[in-house]
Amino acid sequence: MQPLPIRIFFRKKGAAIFISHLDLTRCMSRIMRRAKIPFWYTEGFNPHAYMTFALPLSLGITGLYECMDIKLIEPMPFEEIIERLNNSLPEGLSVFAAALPVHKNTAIAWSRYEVVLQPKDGDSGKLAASLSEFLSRESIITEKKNKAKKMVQIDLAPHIKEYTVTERGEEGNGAVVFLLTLPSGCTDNINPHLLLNLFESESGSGFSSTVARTEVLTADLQKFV
Amino acid sequence: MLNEKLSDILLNVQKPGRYVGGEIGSITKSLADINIRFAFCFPDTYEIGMSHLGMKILYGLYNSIPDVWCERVFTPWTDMEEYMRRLHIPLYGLESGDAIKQFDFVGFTLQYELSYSNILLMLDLAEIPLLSKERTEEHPIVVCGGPCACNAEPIADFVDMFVLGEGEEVSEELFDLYKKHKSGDYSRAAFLLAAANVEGVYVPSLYDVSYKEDGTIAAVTAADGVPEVVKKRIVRDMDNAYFPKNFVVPFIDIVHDRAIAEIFRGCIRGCRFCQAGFLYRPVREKSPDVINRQSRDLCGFTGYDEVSLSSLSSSDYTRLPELLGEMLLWSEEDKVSISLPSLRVDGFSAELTEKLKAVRRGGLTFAPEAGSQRLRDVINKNVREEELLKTCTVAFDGGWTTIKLYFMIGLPTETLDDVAEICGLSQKVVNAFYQNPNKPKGKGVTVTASASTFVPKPFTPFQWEPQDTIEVIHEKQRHLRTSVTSRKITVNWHDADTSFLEAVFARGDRRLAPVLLKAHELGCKFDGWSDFFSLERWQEAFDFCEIDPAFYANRRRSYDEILPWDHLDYGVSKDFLIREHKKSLCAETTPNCRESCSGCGANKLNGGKCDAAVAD
Ligand code: SF4
Repeated sequence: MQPLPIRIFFRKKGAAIFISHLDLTRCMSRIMRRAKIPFWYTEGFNPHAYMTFALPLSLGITGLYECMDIKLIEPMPFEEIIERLNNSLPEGLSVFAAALPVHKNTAIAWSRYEVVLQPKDGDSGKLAASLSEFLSRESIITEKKNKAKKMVQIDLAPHIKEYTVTERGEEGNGAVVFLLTLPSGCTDNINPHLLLNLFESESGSGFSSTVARTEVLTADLQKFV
Repeated sequence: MLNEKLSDILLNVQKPGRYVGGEIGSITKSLADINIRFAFCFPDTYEIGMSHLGMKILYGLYNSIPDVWCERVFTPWTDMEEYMRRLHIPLYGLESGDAIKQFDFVGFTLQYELSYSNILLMLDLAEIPLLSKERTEEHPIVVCGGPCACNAEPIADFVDMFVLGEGEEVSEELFDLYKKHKSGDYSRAAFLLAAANVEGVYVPSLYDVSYKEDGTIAAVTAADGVPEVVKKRIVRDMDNAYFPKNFVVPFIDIVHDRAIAEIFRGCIRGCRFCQAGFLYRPVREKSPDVINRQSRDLCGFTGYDEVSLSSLSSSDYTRLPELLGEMLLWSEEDKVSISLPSLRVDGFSAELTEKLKAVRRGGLTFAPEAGSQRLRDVINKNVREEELLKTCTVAFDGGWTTIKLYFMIGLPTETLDDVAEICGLSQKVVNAFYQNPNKPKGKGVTVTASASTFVPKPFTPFQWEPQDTIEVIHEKQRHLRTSVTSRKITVNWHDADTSFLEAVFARGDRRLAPVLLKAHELGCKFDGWSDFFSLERWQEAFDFCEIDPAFYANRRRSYDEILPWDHLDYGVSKDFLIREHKKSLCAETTPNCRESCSGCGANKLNGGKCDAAVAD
């Protein structure tokens, strides 16, 4: 049969967030061999498993909506692919869906993130207020490496598509939940850590944070599938 | 399993994948079922330790025992070390994340002498007292094995027991003994005394060493009730020996990231400088069908697409063509490549070359070890120039254009002329390329000659030989450089300073323990890494302890001197080593074990059997 493109959706959390993108690629190709998925190898001098990831995830970020495309050379039901992969995957990685791809990878425009901030002094009210103030500024200027690896100034304010800041938990031991949507994809890409680092240094607030990418969206804010 | 403290710091260190565990194939168990917790420590980085076959075998074997849980531990890189100290995170096992100080055993594998400082570093980070005599019933038993256990004396004060030889054999016996002791009124001393009577176990605190005025050993006296000489253990039947069905497959890139199948142990060659060649005798082969099955299983379980056939000298495996034939039946379809390291020059036959076409070809490396035929005879490296050149020609025919040649400098009896011949031989390889009508078109040849510094090792015929001083080595290195005759030849060499320290510890004795302690205090670690190694710092430690390192590295021993490892029996007899040493001084060679048995004595460990002596 003609190699059939399949999109695999998976989560990456727990200890697995410390797997870099390059290492994940290697891991996944071994997993597919282990799981005996009839996948397609690239042709040519040095054949390797065909695999493309829609949107590489930075080290340390939890991914709840990660996508990887492979090609099948023999038919296999989606449920079986999911089950086989899950039986082979290490802790922290799990597949939750497999389907024929609808969008092209280039259709990705946005990602949604859930950031949980834990204030060092336990005062989540103060942290939430200071974060809200920070986000309401007209411009949020920081530095970022451009494609040519040169540091350039960038204003983050217009890039933040939408956000909410809420408090969670009891007094003195609360957290701030910060939901936001940032540009993603091959043209424009903003890492939420860029914003968090700037906030941390400018506000002087002490906090620890965890970041999860919860959704990947197209330009019209449709779920990428 | 990660605790919160760790998650916070992992984003700030290089390669966090070194510290998280959770890889495919890593084993977690429920503590309720566990009687023995074992921390298998490799005193180097994750990337190096994870590449090591011995660790994979023992990890699998220990965990195959239901009530034993073995975890992996590596030396944290300095960035991680700093965080661990600052946040008071004691060294932990990668599988559970629990501090190893609460384990029953903490085991170190001793692969090279330059890792000794890392052993102290790891004990320190684990919050386990460094000195054996300072440990109590609450502390784990610190056990060491691996090749350097053959002269364990420099670290004897830090270690509770050594396992000599192949760990597969002894471990279960040792675990059973420990369980028996643990279920009663556990006393460390009583357990160690009982363990000292298990064949292959050496408990250094039960052996007293006294010294003569000239610094040499006067006597080694065993305590009552323990054997005077400790004999190493070996696996007798390789086909039925434990071999893991599964490896831990790392996420991060490691040095050797592939499946490994062991094809035989020991070596038939008897190169006189090579410690491994003597330590792992007698030769024991695995059958092709067993290797074939194990390789296939391993690739299936791990998802690896490469399997390497491991041994000290692959082409000496008597049934190599048969094995490759069997493996090629499935490897191509499964898209698995077979790699064959440690090929010998003369093993490169036409038949093999044909088979090897399907086998992964990296750069081509040969190890003539010495430039002149005379010196090759001294070290019993039975490779003739014609053979090397013939093989290179075969390789050039096959399209290879880069050849790497490995040499040693500082070999016994070596002169500056011998050194110059390293370049002479390299030049002949270059000439062979240009004289070859079938050479790859339009390409030049590159020959790299790499020269390491010779380190005399215990249980070799050169165990009595002095190492060249650093000054002499430097002079020889300069001579090597000035002898290069072509731009097609690149020469490089290893740092003489590290080889000097290696030589000190390889044949050191217990009086080096204070030096190690001092060096640890001064911050010596990762001595095998040029970015960390500092001979000045070590010199400071030697000076502080008033120990002259040259006594260990650069002194010729006499045959009747008591050597620090004489109370350990590795199979090869001292008489044999003396015979070999005497022959070496007259540049007289010894035939390889397949041609004729030279009576090294190692076969007595295997009931008189030695696979090398079985002619094919
Ligand atoms: S017993 Fe004989 S054949 Fe076997 S390793 Fe020793 S010398 Fe070689």
